[in-house]
Order: sequence, then structure tokens, then C-alpha cells
Amino acid sequence: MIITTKLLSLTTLLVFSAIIYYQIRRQQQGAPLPWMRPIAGLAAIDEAVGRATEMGRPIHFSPGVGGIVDEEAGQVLAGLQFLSYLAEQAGRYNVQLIATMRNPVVYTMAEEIAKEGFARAGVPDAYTPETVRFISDAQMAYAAGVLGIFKREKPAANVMIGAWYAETMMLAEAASNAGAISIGGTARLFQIPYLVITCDYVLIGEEIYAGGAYLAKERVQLGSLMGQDWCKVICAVILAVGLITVTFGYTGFRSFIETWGK
Amino acid sequence: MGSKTIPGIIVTTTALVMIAEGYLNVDLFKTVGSEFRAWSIIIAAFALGLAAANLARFHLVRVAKRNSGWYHNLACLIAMFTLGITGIFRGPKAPTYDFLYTNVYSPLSVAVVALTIFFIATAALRAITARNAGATILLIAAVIIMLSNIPVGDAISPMIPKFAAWINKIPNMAGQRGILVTSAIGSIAFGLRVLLGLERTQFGAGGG
Repeated sequence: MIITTKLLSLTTLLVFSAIIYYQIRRQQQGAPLPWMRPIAGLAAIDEAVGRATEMGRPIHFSPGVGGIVDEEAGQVLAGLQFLSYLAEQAGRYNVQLIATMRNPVVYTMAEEIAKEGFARAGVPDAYTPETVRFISDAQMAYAAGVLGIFKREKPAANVMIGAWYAETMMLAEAASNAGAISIGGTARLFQIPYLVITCDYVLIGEEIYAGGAYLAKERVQLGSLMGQDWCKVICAVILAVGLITVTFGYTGFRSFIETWGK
Repeated sequence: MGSKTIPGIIVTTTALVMIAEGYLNVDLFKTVGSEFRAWSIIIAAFALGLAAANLARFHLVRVAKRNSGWYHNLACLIAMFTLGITGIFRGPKAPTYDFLYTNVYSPLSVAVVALTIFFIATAALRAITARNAGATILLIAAVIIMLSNIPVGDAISPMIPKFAAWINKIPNMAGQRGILVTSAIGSIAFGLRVLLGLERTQFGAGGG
């Protein structure tokens, strides 16, 4: 019944899920709060809001061009966590928020998330139809639309966290040219270098998923982060075992991973 | 039940079915998973309608108010309605639609892609300014990789292409795999929180 070639993958998924769930439960039951490594990109979110407030210019946000029914769904949803926080902060400090969307499904979600964010800040009327904007579902048409927004509306801050493709470079660089502070983030390997060279702050890989824990400081999120750290320890141990066994000529461990880890 | 409970149940059920489809060889899960994928296409079509309405409303308001640059909004509306109406009434394979797509949309799209080169040039210039140790390492690595991709690199020293290959294969690959592993773990944790209803940002709830 279980697809045998995926047995190791399933086991890993279940073990990691169990560890993360255990740590979440521990935090919910009041375990001591963990120390969190400061991540400059996450700390910069508040800086971006502050900058926009002082300059009286908008904040631009985008969760990238990915959808929510493909493998990048997690990245897009993680990006939307930042929209939730930004909408709340924008409402609190009376800053204009412009969220641009490429994917129609993500657009409908983003609308609700932004509305709730402004409502939490106590200013539901601050949300307008111009807050979340659907630009186009064609990648380059979307990029051209956002370039126009940067040129005309000159945002003070640009937060682009999610699933990015070929448009990464031009959007981040155009934001920089418009005088915006840029915070980028993605787990897509090929786009990370572009973000690194064009953005002021970058969230690399798993850091985009940690946004909720840092921004909301909720125990569920903190527990999840602790669980992730334990999973990383397990991965490091497996890597070390593989390294040592292969170095000393024992290939059994490697063969096991290659056979069952497809 | 709250307004976020029912969507939560739907998300959890759907996710469990899709996970089961991926790991279990059971026909029921394959059938239901296939149905869910078909539904997602239908939902996307509805969402596109809502998105198009937002787009039209946004630009119509700006044109009506004669906001600065309103003619850009008007151009967008004309393009949207021309292509939309042609596509709906004549079909996406009609010669008119095909003409507009091939002679208007495609060249404009390619032109936007071509703009990337200018952004690459200015970004590269900023990035390779050796402001600190990290930027200096980036600058050295970039110069070696660039030299290795042009004939003069090999002419300067045959070591340059070899060193470039080493940079790509060892430090670059190690960094990429580290990011891949941790991203996958982050993704599992995020998925688990969504599955257990502990992550409700996507329903508009704040925090976790």
C-alpha cells in the first residue's frame, strides 16, 4: 500500500513532524522561551515601516509570482505572513500600503489578509481597493506594472518575500533606484544571489518561514522554530555519518540512502 | 463554528488527502486528489474574475478622477478589454486574438525581459563595490567566474577555469545544499502548522 521507494521520505516527514509538534506543544504548555538568533532582515521590517512613516511615502509588498497549488506554495504563504504584519503596522502608523499580486488566487487571499490586518490595527476603513492590487497573471506584464508603481509612487520601502523568478533582479533594482529600502526573501536557490546583490536585507531559505515567530513572538511559532532546529541537528548528524563512512570506504550507508531516499 | 474553522477543516482534509496520494498506492486517494486538482483550476478561474474586476475598478477610478498619468490607466483598460473581449467572443485561436498576442503582447513582454540587462549592470556595479569582507569575497569570486567564461581567462592562466569550477562545485554547492535542507525543514514545519490549524494567517488571522 505504501509506495516503497518513498518509505524513507515518509519516515523523515513523520519523524520531523513529530519533533516539531512536540516542541510546539512544549511551548504551548509554558516551556522557557528559547533564545532567537537575531536576523537582520526581520528586524528591518519595523525599520522599513518607520522609514515609510517618516518619509510619508508608501510601503510596497509582494509575495512573488508563485501560486498556492505548486511546490512554491509554502513560500507564498510565508510571504503573506509578512503582509499580515505590514498591514497591521501600516494601519497603526497611518502609512499607505501597496501590495501587488500576480496570481489571482493569491490576490483574493491577500485582500482578506490585508483587510484583517488593518482591522486589527483598529482602522478597517484605512483599507481601500488600491491597497491590494492585481497587476497581471503574465509574469513580465506583472513586472512592468510594478516597475511603473516604483517609478510613479516612489515607495519608501519594498518588501518582496515569497517565490521569485526571473523578475527578481529588475524589481529589486528598480526599488533601489526609486530610493526604497529593500527587504527580499525567497527559498528559490537561483534567485537568492540576485536578492543578495540588490536588496539591503535578505531572508535566505528557511528564514522566510521564521518570520511569524520573530514578528508575532507567538509560542506556536517559537516551538516550531525549536523543532526545526532539532531537525537540522538530525540532518547534520546524518551528513556527518555519511561523510565519515564514505571517507573510510564504507558505502553501506550511502547505498541505503540512495536506495530508499528516492 | 467560526468563519475560520470551516476553511481550516477544508485545508486540513485537502492536505491530508494530497499527502496520502503522494505516499500511498490507493486508487481512492488518486481519484480524490485528481478531483481536488480539477477544483483548484475552477477556483482559480473564479479568482481571476475577481482579480480582473479589481483591475478594472482600480483603473476606471483613476481615469474618472483624472489622476496624474491617467492615460496610462486608460491604455491598460483598452488593452485589457480589447484582448478580453476578442478572446471571449472570438476564441483564443481566432486570427484577431492571435495577431494581438503575437504582435502586441509578445514584443512588449520580450522588451521587459530585455530591460533586465540594464538592471543587471547597475546592480552588479553596486554589488562588486568592495565595501566589506563579504563584498570583497563576492567581487573576487565574480571576477574569477567571469574570466573563466571568456577565452582570455584561460589565456591569463589555465588555473582560472579550474579554480572557477572548484568554486562552483565545492563552496557554492555546499551553500546551496545547506539552504535546500533548511528550506525543506522550514517548509515541513510551516505545512504542519497549517495542517494542524495553528497557522491561520492565510485566513486573515494575525500572528500564528
